[in-house]
Amino acid sequence: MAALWIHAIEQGLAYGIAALGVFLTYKVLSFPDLTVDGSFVTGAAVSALLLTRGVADPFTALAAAFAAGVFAGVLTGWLHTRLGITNLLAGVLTMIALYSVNLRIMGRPNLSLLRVPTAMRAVESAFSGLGIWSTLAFLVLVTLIVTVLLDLFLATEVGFALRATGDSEAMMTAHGVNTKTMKVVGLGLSNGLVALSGGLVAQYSGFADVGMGIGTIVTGLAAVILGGTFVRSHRVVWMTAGVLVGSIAYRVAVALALRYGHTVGFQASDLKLVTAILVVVALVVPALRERRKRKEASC
Amino acid sequence: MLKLDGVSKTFRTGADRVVALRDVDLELPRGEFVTVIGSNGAGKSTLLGLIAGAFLPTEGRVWLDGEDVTGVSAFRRARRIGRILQNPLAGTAPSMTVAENLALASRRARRGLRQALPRRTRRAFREQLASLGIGLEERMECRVALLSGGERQALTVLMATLARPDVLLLDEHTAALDPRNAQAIAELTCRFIDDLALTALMVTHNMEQAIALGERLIMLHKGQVVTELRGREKAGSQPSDLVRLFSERRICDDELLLGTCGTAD
Repeated sequence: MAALWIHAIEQGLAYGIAALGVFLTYKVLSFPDLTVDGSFVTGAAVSALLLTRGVADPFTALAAAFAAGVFAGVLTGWLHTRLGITNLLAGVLTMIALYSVNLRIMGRPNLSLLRVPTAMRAVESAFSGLGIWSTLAFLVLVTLIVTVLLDLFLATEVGFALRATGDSEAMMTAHGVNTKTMKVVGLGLSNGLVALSGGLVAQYSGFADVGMGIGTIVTGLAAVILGGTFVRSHRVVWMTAGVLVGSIAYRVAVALALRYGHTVGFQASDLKLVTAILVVVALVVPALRERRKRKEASC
Repeated sequence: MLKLDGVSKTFRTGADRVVALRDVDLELPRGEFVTVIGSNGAGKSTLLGLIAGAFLPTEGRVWLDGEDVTGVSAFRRARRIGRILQNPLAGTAPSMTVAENLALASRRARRGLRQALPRRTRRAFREQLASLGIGLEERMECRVALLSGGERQALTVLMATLARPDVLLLDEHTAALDPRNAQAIAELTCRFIDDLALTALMVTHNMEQAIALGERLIMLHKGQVVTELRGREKAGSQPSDLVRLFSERRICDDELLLGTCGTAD
């Protein structure tokens, strides 16, 4: 049972970075970006390729995954802001294109990382005293660093402009900000995080697969929404922390469902359906509640 | 400071083309405050939009402090031009706090990775908010979404003037407020324009306001400047004088008073 919890928390952290990416586009920029289903795999593919070829250490491979994700996000941003393609379609187009790109990167649909040194194995051998906690400790550290950096970025002038762009584009133009550039920056950073998460997940689970990104947007949203119900705050620092809490909560729920779901007739393959229903409920319930009370507590 | 040189603007082409502005010349020396009146469709908002860079003029040039800014994009121009719209929701970022909104407004130049809201700046904002006299300095950590329309517009006025723009454009910015708030925001705006000696262009539907405020009044009709009043001539006029003046120029009275009457002339 303890192993179930540890694994769920580890996954929650590794996928949590992707959820932070989704948070950045969906919540901060108000841009529902579907690129992530592709860029998650791109991160995994780049990181897996570099490791199987033996040309990079696991940490450099993660940095490369981040960079590849930034590139994918910038492409979506460019399709949207320069070519005027609507936000949803721009994301879908990049996502579809990435499917082929990801296959090209890996050379086949699946790359195994069982025989190569991954970040987790490197940490395990370097800090053998940590025992079974070494992977968890490593993922906590990585997630913490990423979250703090994201928080710091969102508190800079550019970060403020990014947040305001998602809020009111016209207002930001009136205050001297090129909102198109802001969108490209936000999409790049977001997909960088998603790809970093993909690289981490690949190294963590020991393989990269061309289908592993399906539903990244939905699980990311599930984490963002769950996080919003656990941590009710409008401060960025709390919101990002909430996303991680939401991601862990989601993975714990999935782990429990996979273990005990069969008792109520669920199969493992029902997971995505259940997730989709969960997200629909989580999206609709607050809106209904809002309609009922309308008035927000004064500040 | 601001100069329009033979500016025309035609929206759409073909059968449903609309000529919004027709060969308008306008010059505002530094520090002048001009009010603009005119019926619906007279071209008032088009005029401000052209100055702000929301769209390009069909003909003519726009000059800002001796520089031709005709082709300069809106966000670049916004570094030197402050603009307040009628909708109080349009000028602020609702999900961000009062202090964060001021931080957004205080920096017009290139934005970098500096901390956006250091403690020192926060203190300065507190004093500036106190000058609004509506207690916003005690609510700096409130999200703007929780403020009333009047409070939001007062904040917008402060935000638009915070970076000391070369030109301030006011597009019926009190029209969506209740009379008491409208009065308060108009007074506040005038105080900022006076204190900072701003060059300002204010569109209004309120003729008393147009007469009482500013140094010059211009009347637009069908995309052209048809009347211009200055100094004593302006100060001595009554709203009824304006109406008479306009009817002499064959403009329907109802159109002026009610802002409707589309078939007049």
